[in-house]
Amino acid sequence: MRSSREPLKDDKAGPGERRNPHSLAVISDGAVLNGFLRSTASIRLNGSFQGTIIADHELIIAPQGRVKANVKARRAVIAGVFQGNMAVLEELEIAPTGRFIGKLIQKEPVLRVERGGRFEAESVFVDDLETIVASWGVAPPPPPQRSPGPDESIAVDETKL
Amino acid sequence: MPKDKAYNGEAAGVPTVIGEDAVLEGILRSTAPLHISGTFKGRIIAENEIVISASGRVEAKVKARRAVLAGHFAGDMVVLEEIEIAPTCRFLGTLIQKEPGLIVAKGGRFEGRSVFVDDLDKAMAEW
Repeated sequence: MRSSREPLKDDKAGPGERRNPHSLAVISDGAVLNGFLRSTASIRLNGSFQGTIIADHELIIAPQGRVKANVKARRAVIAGVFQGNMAVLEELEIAPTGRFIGKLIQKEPVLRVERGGRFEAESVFVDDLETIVASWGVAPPPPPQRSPGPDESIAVDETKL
Repeated sequence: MPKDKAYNGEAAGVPTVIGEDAVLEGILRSTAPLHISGTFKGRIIAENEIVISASGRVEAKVKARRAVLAGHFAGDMVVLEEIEIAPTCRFLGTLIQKEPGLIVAKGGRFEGRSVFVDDLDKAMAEW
């Protein structure tokens, strides 16, 4: 597992959006969340999530993570189980323990599957990811910074719902 | 047209080769490793390994034990053990497996569907 990943070299987020790539939104082991999650920081899912995710930076589904969602992510690492639609801008990595079921939508080739990883899905290429994402009819994405706090991460750590 | 060209030799015997300038259409079956650098259209049964090098262009229904793809492939592919999509590869079509054997290197283009079935022979029966 990658608890301390290097920050991405080229963060193309607009000014003010790139505060702290190290900060995390974490859904812990044992936590179950239904809803809409957006973060400009890394999102790490160790528990269960169902809903919609917009990861302006990176989404990591840990080996214990179970995610059923529509996702848009700049980068994603799947070491757990993902089911749904995922639009990826830069790179999608299916780790040996990972399982991806559903549909991958990309503009340029983003897929990387490691030996043992299970990619059971459709992989399509489109010119306009945004249109696809919009067609999911998700709730209007909240602005990345809702409050002028020092850290924009949405901490859902160990929340029991 | 090499039809049912089979080697009875060891798995690591002389490979079947379709060179860069060759264009083939038909049905190819090989028990030896199969290297395609040219153009092939048709159907392939590779009881060993199929390698499509970067210059290779294959449009076919393929059954292979293992596959290493660096060139362009379009069609359906049944893989028993492992399929590797190299960075220069362009895979367009359907991959059919029983157990996860897909490896995609960064930059490799996999466009299509990856499906898992219990009975590979049944999946091929439609061909």
